Amino acid sequence: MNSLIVTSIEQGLIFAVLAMGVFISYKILDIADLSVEGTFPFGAFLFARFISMGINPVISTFSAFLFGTLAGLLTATLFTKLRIKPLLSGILTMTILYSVNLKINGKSNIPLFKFSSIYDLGSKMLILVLIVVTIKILLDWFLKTEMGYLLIATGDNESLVRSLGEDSNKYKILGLMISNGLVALSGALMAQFQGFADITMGSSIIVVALASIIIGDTIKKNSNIVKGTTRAILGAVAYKIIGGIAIDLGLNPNDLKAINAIIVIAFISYNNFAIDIFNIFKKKEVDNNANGTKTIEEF
Amino acid sequence: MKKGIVKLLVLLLITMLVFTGCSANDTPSKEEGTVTNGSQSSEQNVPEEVVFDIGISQLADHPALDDARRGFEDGLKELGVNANIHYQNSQGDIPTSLTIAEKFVKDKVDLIYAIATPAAQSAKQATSDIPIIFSAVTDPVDAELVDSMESPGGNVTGTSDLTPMDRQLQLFKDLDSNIKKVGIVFNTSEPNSQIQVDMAKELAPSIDLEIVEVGISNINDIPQALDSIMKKVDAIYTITDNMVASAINVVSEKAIANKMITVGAEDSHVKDGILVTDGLSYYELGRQSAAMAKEILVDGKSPANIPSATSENTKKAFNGETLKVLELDENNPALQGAEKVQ
Repeated sequence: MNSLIVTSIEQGLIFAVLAMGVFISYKILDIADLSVEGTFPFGAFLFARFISMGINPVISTFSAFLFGTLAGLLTATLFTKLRIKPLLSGILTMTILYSVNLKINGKSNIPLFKFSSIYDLGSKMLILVLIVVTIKILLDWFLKTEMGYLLIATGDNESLVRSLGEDSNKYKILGLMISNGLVALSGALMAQFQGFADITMGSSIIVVALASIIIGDTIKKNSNIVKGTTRAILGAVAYKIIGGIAIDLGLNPNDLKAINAIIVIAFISYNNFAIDIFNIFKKKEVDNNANGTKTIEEF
Repeated sequence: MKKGIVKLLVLLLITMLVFTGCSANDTPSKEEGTVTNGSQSSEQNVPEEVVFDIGISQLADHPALDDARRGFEDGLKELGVNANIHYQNSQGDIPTSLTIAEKFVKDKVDLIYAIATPAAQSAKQATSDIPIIFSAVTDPVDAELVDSMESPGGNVTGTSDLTPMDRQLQLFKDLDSNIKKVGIVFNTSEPNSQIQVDMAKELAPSIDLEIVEVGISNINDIPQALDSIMKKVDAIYTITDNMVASAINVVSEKAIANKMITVGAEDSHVKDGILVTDGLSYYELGRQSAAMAKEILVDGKSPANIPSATSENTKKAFNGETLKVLELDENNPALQGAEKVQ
């Protein structure tokens, strides 16, 4: 297979972990959490720190996830306890993480060429597929537990959760912790993949995550079977493949950023446009689906 | 679900078609990038014209990095190396720089020229066979690109943009012996900048100077950072920092307003109003890298045996207008042999 496509798919799988993380905050909890721009390099820097201390790469990667959840805890605390707006809370965490990231290793670029990585265990592609599928299965399973249902309900209808005598803030904290943990994990995977951690690796990563989710959503239109996690994965891989093709075609390098944005615009307008075109089919579906309310399955 | 996937594929196809449309428009610019050698020399020396494919991976659009690229391209021409240049720019996005490197590997280019540290690291990660020449990397050993400057050991070698800092700091004393404190503004995100700040701090006491540094993380912080630091220092030193380079006009304007002497680390700073430099030119650095590329491509040397080097040619230059505003004498011995830039 074409090595560029392989790299694009591998990078896509790494971003799939990121996209699943952002899926929890953006789609389920309906919070635009910008802290991921800090959490992504945070995961990379944590990994660099652990691996340079001589810790096994698998444990280092997993530790990046665990410590990454703390970033989510911070954001969630800022807006649940201090009542700072979620958007601003995310930005504040991101800003704090910038300084933290520089402190972790004392410099802004850490080469990892000399250390072993999680990809030494076997084929890169196989390892990434295993990681992504495991996370997907765990996440899908979690969303079906009582806690998971309440997490979804918190994003859907917060007062409903409160009326059940549950503390909705608890679920926001939980959701953001898992979300940021996954983003940090994705950062750790990326650092090992490219052979170094760099402070700027998180810049505009939120765009990649949202674009992946939006692209994945185009599959949603006619299906309740495809889960949100699956959509996020497919979206991330598709996004990276398109990016890889754009580079392979030898497009003017100065246009790349705009092209990325155009891809997202194309998919969003497809999403919106499709609603009009397929309205007729939709009506039928609604008739068949006697209750028109959102089902849990949609997530 | 099937329907959904089919639609996704259709959409992918449409986006691709749009791209192909774009790329068709770009064809002329790609051809422009082809560097061909003057035919006279090739007729005599090389009977069969060998054309090398060279992939250039540049981290971001930036005057110094652009200079490093132009110097490389011009250097190849001067050396009579026939090359097909494939230029890619990752616009500061690191995962993209890895994709670009992978593309070059897939296209089986003869050599990769990587400009700036993350671009070089990505290229190194992508291949251990294709020779890689880097430029605009301050400390290639610290970045783990090479084993040591003298014998790089792998498939990577190149030029470091480490500045002759001792000479630059000495300029402050030569211009005004009363200068005690020198301010540096630097971007905390750039490993190269941190290295230079540490170096300046180490060197300063031997020249009887004290360094006051202020770190920024966003280009919009520069005016404030300058205002705060200018209250504390006698002069300003601009290092080879990408973010500061982008806002070099602001630095020189503020310094002039405060009647402060400024020394820059590279000649492009002086063009934008910094008083003087005795430093490297990224264009020259690019040409030096081109000479290394020739050794590998034409002479068949291995990158492992070509020592990584710092800039051979430094260039002294001063800005005439800034000099006038600061009421300094053009015949000052410190400016001897310097080129006047307006």
